[in-house]
Amino acid sequence: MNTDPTNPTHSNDKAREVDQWLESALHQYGQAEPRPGLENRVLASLRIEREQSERTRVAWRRRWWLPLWSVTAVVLAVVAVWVWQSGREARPRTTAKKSAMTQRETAQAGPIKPAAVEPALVKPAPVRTFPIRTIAKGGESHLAVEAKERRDEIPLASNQTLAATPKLDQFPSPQPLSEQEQILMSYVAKYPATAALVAQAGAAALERDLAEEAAEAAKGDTE
Amino acid sequence: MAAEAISLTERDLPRQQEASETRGSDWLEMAVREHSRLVYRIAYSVLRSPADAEDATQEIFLRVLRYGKKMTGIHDQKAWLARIAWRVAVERRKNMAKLGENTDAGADEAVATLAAPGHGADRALLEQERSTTLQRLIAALPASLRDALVLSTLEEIAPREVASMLGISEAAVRSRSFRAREILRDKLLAAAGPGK
Repeated sequence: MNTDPTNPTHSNDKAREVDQWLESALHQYGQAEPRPGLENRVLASLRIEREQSERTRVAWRRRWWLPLWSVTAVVLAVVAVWVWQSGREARPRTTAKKSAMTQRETAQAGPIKPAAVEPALVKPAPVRTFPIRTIAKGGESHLAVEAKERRDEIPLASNQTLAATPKLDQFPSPQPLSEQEQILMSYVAKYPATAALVAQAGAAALERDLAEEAAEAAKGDTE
Repeated sequence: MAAEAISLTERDLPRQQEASETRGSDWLEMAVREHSRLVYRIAYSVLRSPADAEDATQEIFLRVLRYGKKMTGIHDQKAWLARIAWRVAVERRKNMAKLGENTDAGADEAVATLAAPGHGADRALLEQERSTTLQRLIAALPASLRDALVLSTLEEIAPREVASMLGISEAAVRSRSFRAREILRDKLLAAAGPGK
Protein backbone atom coordinates (compact mmCIF):
# COMPACT_ATOMS: atom_id res chain seq x y z
CA MET A 1 0.00 0.00 0.00
CA ASN A 2 1.14 3.49 -0.80
CA THR A 3 1.83 5.24 2.46
CA ASP A 4 3.04 8.50 1.02
CA PRO A 5 0.55 11.05 2.25
CA THR A 6 1.32 13.42 -0.57
CA ASN A 7 0.47 10.78 -3.14
CA PRO A 8 -3.11 11.12 -4.34
CA THR A 9 -3.38 7.35 -4.54
CA HIS A 10 -2.78 7.22 -0.82
CA SER A 11 -5.76 9.37 -0.05
CA ASN A 12 -7.87 7.27 -2.40
CA ASP A 13 -6.77 4.15 -0.62
CA LYS A 14 -7.57 5.73 2.66
CA ALA A 15 -10.99 6.77 1.51
CA ARG A 16 -11.61 3.30 0.13
CA GLU A 17 -10.56 1.75 3.41
CA VAL A 18 -12.85 4.06 5.37
CA ASP A 19 -15.72 3.28 2.98
CA GLN A 20 -15.25 -0.43 3.42
CA TRP A 21 -14.96 -0.13 7.13
CA LEU A 22 -18.04 2.08 7.26
CA GLU A 23 -20.12 -0.36 5.22
CA SER A 24 -19.02 -3.21 7.40
CA ALA A 25 -19.72 -1.26 10.57
CA LEU A 26 -23.15 -0.16 9.40
CA HIS A 27 -23.99 -3.73 8.47
CA GLN A 28 -23.00 -4.83 11.95
CA TYR A 29 -24.88 -1.88 13.40
CA GLY A 30 -28.17 -3.34 12.17
CA GLN A 31 -27.40 -6.94 13.10
CA ALA A 32 -27.77 -6.73 16.83
CA GLU A 33 -28.83 -10.05 18.29
CA PRO A 34 -31.03 -10.29 21.34
CA ARG A 35 -30.23 -12.42 24.34
CA PRO A 36 -31.19 -16.07 23.81
CA GLY A 37 -34.77 -16.87 24.82
CA LEU A 38 -36.30 -13.49 23.94
CA GLU A 39 -39.35 -15.16 22.36
CA ASN A 40 -40.11 -17.19 25.48
CA ARG A 41 -39.75 -14.16 27.72
CA VAL A 42 -42.12 -12.16 25.55
CA LEU A 43 -44.64 -15.01 25.42
CA ALA A 44 -44.45 -15.39 29.20
CA SER A 45 -45.19 -11.71 29.73
CA LEU A 46 -48.10 -11.94 27.30
CA ARG A 47 -49.49 -14.91 29.19
CA ILE A 48 -49.28 -13.00 32.47
CA GLU A 49 -51.01 -10.02 30.89
CA ARG A 50 -53.83 -12.23 29.61
CA GLU A 51 -54.31 -13.82 33.03
CA GLN A 52 -54.35 -10.44 34.73
CA SER A 53 -56.87 -9.00 32.33
CA GLU A 54 -59.04 -12.10 32.76
CA ARG A 55 -58.86 -11.74 36.54
CA THR A 56 -59.76 -8.07 36.23
CA ARG A 57 -62.70 -8.94 34.00
CA VAL A 58 -63.95 -11.60 36.45
CA ALA A 59 -63.50 -9.27 39.41
CA TRP A 60 -65.41 -6.54 37.60
CA ARG A 61 -68.19 -8.93 36.76
CA ARG A 62 -68.38 -10.15 40.37
CA ARG A 63 -68.27 -6.63 41.68
CA TRP A 64 -70.95 -5.21 39.48
CA TRP A 65 -73.05 -8.25 38.62
CA LEU A 66 -75.07 -8.32 41.82
CA PRO A 67 -75.78 -4.58 42.06
CA LEU A 68 -76.61 -4.45 38.38
CA TRP A 69 -79.05 -7.31 38.57
CA SER A 70 -80.55 -5.91 41.77
CA VAL A 71 -81.17 -2.57 40.16
CA THR A 72 -82.66 -4.25 37.11
CA ALA A 73 -84.95 -6.36 39.28
CA VAL A 74 -86.09 -3.32 41.25
CA VAL A 75 -86.78 -1.36 38.09
CA LEU A 76 -88.77 -4.23 36.62
CA ALA A 77 -90.74 -4.63 39.85
CA VAL A 78 -91.54 -0.91 39.94
CA VAL A 79 -92.67 -0.98 36.33
CA ALA A 80 -94.82 -4.05 36.94
CA VAL A 81 -96.45 -2.48 40.00
CA TRP A 82 -97.06 0.74 38.13
CA VAL A 83 -98.69 -1.10 35.24
CA TRP A 84 -100.82 -3.14 37.62
CA GLN A 85 -101.88 -0.04 39.56
CA SER A 86 -102.83 1.75 36.39
CA GLY A 87 -104.99 -1.15 35.32
CA ARG A 88 -106.58 -1.45 38.75
CA GLU A 89 -107.43 2.25 39.00
CA ALA A 90 -109.08 2.20 35.62
CA ARG A 91 -111.44 -0.66 36.55
CA PRO A 92 -113.16 0.76 39.72
CA ARG A 93 -113.56 4.15 38.07
CA THR A 94 -115.25 2.51 35.14
CA THR A 95 -117.58 0.51 37.43
CA ALA A 96 -118.43 3.55 39.58
CA LYS A 97 -119.05 5.59 36.49
CA LYS A 98 -121.40 2.97 35.12
CA SER A 99 -123.38 2.67 38.32
CA ALA A 100 -123.57 6.44 38.74
CA MET A 101 -124.80 6.76 35.20
CA THR A 102 -127.31 4.00 35.80
CA GLN A 103 -128.56 5.73 38.98
CA ARG A 104 -128.97 8.99 37.10
CA GLU A 105 -130.77 7.29 34.27
CA THR A 106 -133.09 5.55 36.71
CA ALA A 107 -133.83 8.77 38.56
CA GLN A 108 -134.54 10.58 35.32
CA ALA A 109 -136.72 7.79 34.00
CA GLY A 110 -138.91 7.92 37.13
CA PRO A 111 -140.75 4.97 38.65
CA ILE A 112 -140.70 2.02 36.43
CA LYS A 113 -144.05 1.37 34.87
CA PRO A 114 -145.12 -2.23 34.82
CA ALA A 115 -145.12 -2.14 31.05
CA ALA A 116 -141.42 -1.16 31.06
CA VAL A 117 -140.39 -4.34 32.79
CA GLU A 118 -139.55 -7.16 30.54
CA PRO A 119 -141.78 -9.91 31.67
CA ALA A 120 -139.43 -12.59 30.39
CA LEU A 121 -136.74 -11.67 32.89
CA VAL A 122 -139.01 -11.53 35.89
CA LYS A 123 -140.08 -14.72 37.54
CA PRO A 124 -143.53 -14.63 38.97
CA ALA A 125 -143.01 -14.41 42.68
CA PRO A 126 -144.77 -16.99 44.85
CA VAL A 127 -147.99 -15.54 46.19
CA ARG A 128 -147.74 -14.83 49.84
CA THR A 129 -150.80 -13.89 51.77
CA PHE A 130 -150.27 -11.70 54.71
CA PRO A 131 -152.80 -10.52 57.28
CA ILE A 132 -154.65 -7.37 56.47
CA ARG A 133 -153.87 -6.03 59.91
CA THR A 134 -150.34 -5.40 58.82
CA ILE A 135 -151.50 -2.90 56.27
CA ALA A 136 -151.68 0.22 58.39
CA LYS A 137 -149.85 3.38 58.92
CA GLY A 138 -146.98 1.52 60.40
CA GLY A 139 -147.56 -1.29 58.00
CA GLU A 140 -145.92 0.58 55.27
CA SER A 141 -142.59 -0.06 56.77
CA HIS A 142 -143.55 -3.72 57.25
CA LEU A 143 -144.69 -3.77 53.69
CA ALA A 144 -141.45 -2.21 52.61
CA VAL A 145 -139.56 -4.98 54.36
CA GLU A 146 -141.72 -7.62 52.69
CA ALA A 147 -141.27 -5.92 49.38
CA LYS A 148 -137.54 -5.94 49.90
CA GLU A 149 -137.64 -9.66 50.54
CA ARG A 150 -139.58 -10.16 47.34
CA ARG A 151 -137.05 -8.04 45.57
CA ASP A 152 -134.26 -10.23 46.74
CA GLU A 153 -136.00 -13.35 45.36
CA ILE A 154 -136.80 -11.90 41.97
CA PRO A 155 -133.94 -11.51 39.51
CA LEU A 156 -133.37 -8.00 38.33
CA ALA A 157 -134.52 -6.90 34.91
CA SER A 158 -132.03 -5.96 32.31
CA ASN A 159 -132.70 -2.29 32.81
CA GLN A 160 -132.22 -2.58 36.53
CA THR A 161 -128.83 -2.65 38.22
CA LEU A 162 -127.73 -3.08 41.75
CA ALA A 163 -126.62 0.01 43.54
CA ALA A 164 -122.85 0.36 43.55
CA THR A 165 -120.74 0.85 46.64
CA PRO A 166 -120.09 4.54 46.18
CA LYS A 167 -121.91 6.77 48.63
CA LEU A 168 -124.85 8.70 47.13
CA ASP A 169 -126.48 11.90 48.31
CA GLN A 170 -129.92 10.33 48.96
CA PHE A 171 -130.43 7.64 51.58
CA PRO A 172 -131.82 5.13 51.27
CA SER A 173 -130.81 5.11 47.64
CA PRO A 174 -133.86 4.95 45.40
CA GLN A 175 -134.47 1.50 44.13
CA PRO A 176 -136.86 0.49 41.43
CA LEU A 177 -140.17 -0.93 42.62
CA SER A 178 -140.53 -4.63 42.95
CA GLU A 179 -143.39 -6.51 41.33
CA GLN A 180 -145.42 -6.68 44.52
CA GLU A 181 -145.09 -2.97 45.03
CA GLN A 182 -146.09 -2.38 41.48
CA ILE A 183 -149.13 -4.64 41.88
CA LEU A 184 -150.07 -2.84 45.08
CA MET A 185 -149.68 0.52 43.45
CA SER A 186 -151.82 -0.49 40.55
CA TYR A 187 -154.49 -1.85 43.00
CA VAL A 188 -154.45 1.38 44.96
CA ALA A 189 -154.67 3.35 41.75
CA LYS A 190 -157.61 1.30 40.54
CA TYR A 191 -159.51 0.92 43.90
CA PRO A 192 -158.46 3.76 46.18
CA ALA A 193 -161.51 3.56 48.45
CA THR A 194 -161.21 -0.16 48.97
CA ALA A 195 -157.50 0.14 49.60
CA ALA A 196 -158.13 2.79 52.25
CA LEU A 197 -160.75 0.60 54.00
CA VAL A 198 -158.35 -2.34 54.00
CA ALA A 199 -155.61 -0.18 55.44
CA GLN A 200 -157.83 1.16 58.18
CA ALA A 201 -159.00 -2.33 59.12
CA GLY A 202 -155.45 -3.53 59.28
CA ALA A 203 -154.39 -0.63 61.51
CA ALA A 204 -157.28 -1.29 63.90
CA ALA A 205 -156.35 -4.96 64.11
CA LEU A 206 -152.78 -4.06 64.85
CA GLU A 207 -153.83 -1.75 67.69
CA ARG A 208 -156.01 -4.46 69.22
CA ASP A 209 -153.12 -6.92 69.11
CA LEU A 210 -150.70 -4.50 70.71
CA ALA A 211 -153.22 -3.72 73.49
CA GLU A 212 -153.79 -7.43 74.20
CA GLU A 213 -150.06 -8.05 74.37
CA ALA A 214 -149.58 -5.15 76.77
CA ALA A 215 -152.39 -6.44 79.04
CA GLU A 216 -150.97 -9.93 79.17
CA ALA A 217 -147.54 -8.55 79.97
CA ALA A 218 -148.96 -6.48 82.86
CA LYS A 219 -150.89 -9.46 84.25
CA GLY A 220 -147.74 -11.58 84.16
CA ASP A 221 -145.76 -9.02 86.20
CA THR A 222 -148.33 -8.77 88.97
CA GLU A 223 -148.50 -12.57 89.34
CA MET B 1 -32.26 -9.70 1.12
CA ALA B 2 -34.92 -7.01 1.13
CA ALA B 3 -36.74 -8.73 -1.73
CA GLU B 4 -36.52 -12.00 0.16
CA ALA B 5 -38.06 -10.25 3.16
CA ILE B 6 -40.99 -9.05 1.07
CA SER B 7 -41.56 -12.41 -0.59
CA LEU B 8 -41.40 -14.10 2.79
CA THR B 9 -44.14 -11.78 4.05
CA GLU B 10 -46.42 -12.46 1.11
CA ARG B 11 -45.91 -16.21 1.35
CA ASP B 12 -46.75 -16.19 5.02
CA LEU B 13 -49.76 -13.87 4.71
CA PRO B 14 -52.45 -16.46 3.88
CA ARG B 15 -51.20 -18.61 6.74
CA GLN B 16 -51.30 -15.67 9.09
CA GLN B 17 -54.78 -14.65 8.02
CA GLU B 18 -56.10 -18.15 8.43
CA ALA B 19 -54.58 -18.32 11.89
CA SER B 20 -55.99 -14.94 12.78
CA GLU B 21 -59.42 -16.01 11.74
CA THR B 22 -59.35 -19.01 14.02
CA ARG B 23 -57.73 -17.77 17.20
CA GLY B 24 -56.23 -14.34 17.84
CA SER B 25 -53.92 -15.56 20.59
CA ASP B 26 -52.35 -18.19 18.33
CA TRP B 27 -51.66 -15.56 15.75
CA LEU B 28 -49.95 -13.39 18.32
CA GLU B 29 -47.74 -16.27 19.41
CA MET B 30 -46.83 -16.86 15.77
CA ALA B 31 -46.07 -13.17 15.33
CA VAL B 32 -43.77 -13.24 18.37
CA ARG B 33 -41.87 -16.23 17.05
CA GLU B 34 -41.47 -14.78 13.56
CA HIS B 35 -40.95 -11.08 14.18
CA SER B 36 -39.61 -10.64 17.70
CA ARG B 37 -36.03 -10.42 16.39
CA LEU B 38 -36.93 -7.72 13.89
CA VAL B 39 -38.81 -5.80 16.56
CA TYR B 40 -35.80 -6.09 18.87
CA ARG B 41 -33.41 -4.85 16.19
CA ILE B 42 -35.57 -1.87 15.42
CA ALA B 43 -35.73 -1.02 19.10
CA TYR B 44 -31.98 -1.53 19.50
CA SER B 45 -31.16 0.63 16.48
CA VAL B 46 -32.88 3.51 18.26
CA LEU B 47 -32.07 2.88 21.91
CA ARG B 48 -28.62 1.26 21.54
CA SER B 49 -29.01 -0.66 24.78
CA PRO B 50 -29.82 -4.39 24.93
CA ALA B 51 -31.86 -4.01 28.14
CA ASP B 52 -33.87 -1.06 26.84
CA ALA B 53 -34.38 -2.78 23.52
CA GLU B 54 -35.76 -5.90 25.22
CA ASP B 55 -38.07 -3.82 27.43
CA ALA B 56 -39.32 -2.02 24.36
CA THR B 57 -39.91 -5.36 22.60
CA GLN B 58 -42.04 -6.58 25.53
CA GLU B 59 -43.99 -3.36 25.53
CA ILE B 60 -44.62 -3.53 21.81
CA PHE B 61 -46.15 -6.99 21.94
CA LEU B 62 -48.17 -6.10 25.01
CA ARG B 63 -49.70 -3.22 23.08
CA VAL B 64 -50.48 -5.61 20.26
CA LEU B 65 -52.23 -7.90 22.75
CA ARG B 66 -54.30 -5.10 24.22
CA TYR B 67 -55.40 -3.74 20.87
CA GLY B 68 -55.14 -7.08 19.08
CA LYS B 69 -58.70 -7.02 17.75
CA LYS B 70 -57.59 -4.54 15.14
CA MET B 71 -54.93 -6.86 13.76
CA THR B 72 -57.21 -9.28 11.98
CA GLY B 73 -57.86 -6.85 9.16
CA ILE B 74 -54.24 -5.82 8.58
CA HIS B 75 -52.73 -6.80 5.25
CA ASP B 76 -48.99 -6.56 6.01
CA GLN B 77 -48.63 -7.38 9.66
CA LYS B 78 -44.82 -7.38 9.63
CA ALA B 79 -44.73 -3.79 8.38
CA TRP B 80 -47.43 -2.90 10.90
CA LEU B 81 -45.35 -4.37 13.72
CA ALA B 82 -42.25 -2.58 12.47
CA ARG B 83 -44.09 0.75 12.52
CA ILE B 84 -45.27 0.17 16.07
CA ALA B 85 -41.78 -0.88 17.14
CA TRP B 86 -40.29 2.25 15.65
CA ARG B 87 -42.81 4.55 17.30
CA VAL B 88 -42.43 2.91 20.71
CA ALA B 89 -38.64 3.02 20.51
CA VAL B 90 -38.56 6.68 19.50
CA GLU B 91 -41.02 7.49 22.28
CA ARG B 92 -38.81 5.74 24.79
CA ARG B 93 -35.76 7.61 23.54
CA LYS B 94 -37.57 10.93 24.01
CA ASN B 95 -38.54 9.97 27.54
CA MET B 96 -34.99 8.97 28.31
CA ALA B 97 -33.73 12.27 26.93
CA LYS B 98 -36.17 14.12 29.19
CA LEU B 99 -34.80 12.19 32.15
CA GLY B 100 -31.32 13.38 31.21
CA GLU B 101 -29.90 10.21 29.74
CA ASN B 102 -27.97 11.73 26.88
CA THR B 103 -27.00 9.15 24.30
CA ASP B 104 -25.63 11.65 21.83
CA ALA B 105 -22.79 12.97 23.92
CA GLY B 106 -19.15 12.27 23.29
CA ALA B 107 -19.06 11.94 19.48
CA ASP B 108 -16.18 14.30 19.07
CA GLU B 109 -14.40 12.73 22.00
CA ALA B 110 -14.80 9.32 20.45
CA VAL B 111 -13.27 10.52 17.20
CA ALA B 112 -10.44 12.14 19.12
CA THR B 113 -9.77 8.93 21.00
CA LEU B 114 -9.70 6.99 17.77
CA ALA B 115 -7.26 9.43 16.27
CA ALA B 116 -5.04 9.77 19.32
CA PRO B 117 -1.49 8.51 18.96
CA GLY B 118 -0.41 5.62 21.13
CA HIS B 119 -3.80 4.03 20.62
CA GLY B 120 -4.08 0.31 21.46
CA ALA B 121 -2.89 -1.93 18.62
CA ASP B 122 -5.12 -4.95 19.45
CA ARG B 123 -7.39 -5.50 16.47
CA ALA B 124 -10.44 -6.69 18.39
CA LEU B 125 -10.23 -3.84 20.82
CA LEU B 126 -9.77 -1.47 17.90
CA GLU B 127 -12.88 -2.84 16.23
CA GLN B 128 -14.86 -2.42 19.40
CA GLU B 129 -13.72 1.10 19.76
CA ARG B 130 -14.56 1.81 16.15
CA SER B 131 -18.02 0.40 16.70
CA THR B 132 -18.55 2.59 19.73
CA THR B 133 -17.26 5.56 17.76
CA LEU B 134 -19.62 4.84 14.93
CA GLN B 135 -22.55 4.68 17.31
CA ARG B 136 -21.70 8.04 18.71
CA LEU B 137 -21.22 9.55 15.27
CA ILE B 138 -24.58 8.22 14.16
CA ALA B 139 -26.20 9.56 17.32
CA ALA B 140 -24.77 12.97 16.50
CA LEU B 141 -26.39 13.03 13.06
CA PRO B 142 -29.53 15.14 12.42
CA ALA B 143 -32.62 13.14 13.37
CA SER B 144 -34.07 12.91 9.86
CA LEU B 145 -30.81 11.56 8.41
CA ARG B 146 -30.15 9.30 11.35
CA ASP B 147 -33.55 7.59 11.23
CA ALA B 148 -33.30 6.85 7.51
CA LEU B 149 -29.76 5.51 7.86
CA VAL B 150 -30.49 3.35 10.91
CA LEU B 151 -33.58 1.72 9.41
CA SER B 152 -31.78 1.13 6.13
CA THR B 153 -29.16 -0.92 7.94
CA LEU B 154 -31.82 -3.47 8.92
CA GLU B 155 -31.89 -6.20 6.32
CA GLU B 156 -35.41 -7.36 7.09
CA ILE B 157 -36.94 -4.06 6.11
CA ALA B 158 -37.24 -2.97 2.51
CA PRO B 159 -36.80 0.71 1.52
CA ARG B 160 -40.53 0.84 0.73
CA GLU B 161 -41.35 -0.21 4.28
CA VAL B 162 -38.81 2.28 5.70
CA ALA B 163 -40.52 5.01 3.70
CA SER B 164 -43.90 3.92 5.10
CA MET B 165 -42.59 3.96 8.66
CA LEU B 166 -41.05 7.42 8.35
CA GLY B 167 -43.86 8.86 6.30
CA ILE B 168 -41.60 9.87 3.42
CA SER B 169 -41.00 8.65 -0.13
CA GLU B 170 -38.63 5.87 -1.10
CA ALA B 171 -36.43 8.36 -2.94
CA ALA B 172 -36.21 10.49 0.20
CA VAL B 173 -35.11 7.45 2.19
CA ARG B 174 -32.30 6.71 -0.26
CA SER B 175 -31.25 10.33 -0.42
CA ARG B 176 -31.13 10.80 3.35
CA SER B 177 -29.31 7.54 3.86
CA PHE B 178 -26.68 8.54 1.30
CA ARG B 179 -26.16 11.95 2.89
CA ALA B 180 -25.79 10.40 6.32
CA ARG B 181 -23.12 7.98 5.06
CA GLU B 182 -21.26 10.88 3.45
CA ILE B 183 -21.19 12.79 6.74
CA LEU B 184 -19.92 9.77 8.64
CA ARG B 185 -17.30 9.05 6.00
CA ASP B 186 -16.03 12.61 6.10
CA LYS B 187 -15.77 12.56 9.88
CA LEU B 188 -13.95 9.26 9.88
CA LEU B 189 -11.57 10.44 7.17
CA ALA B 190 -10.91 13.59 9.11
CA ALA B 191 -10.22 11.54 12.22
CA ALA B 192 -7.96 9.18 10.27
CA GLY B 193 -5.84 12.14 9.22
CA PRO B 194 -3.44 12.25 6.39
CA GLY B 195 -0.87 10.02 7.99
CA LYS B 196 -2.95 7.06 9.30
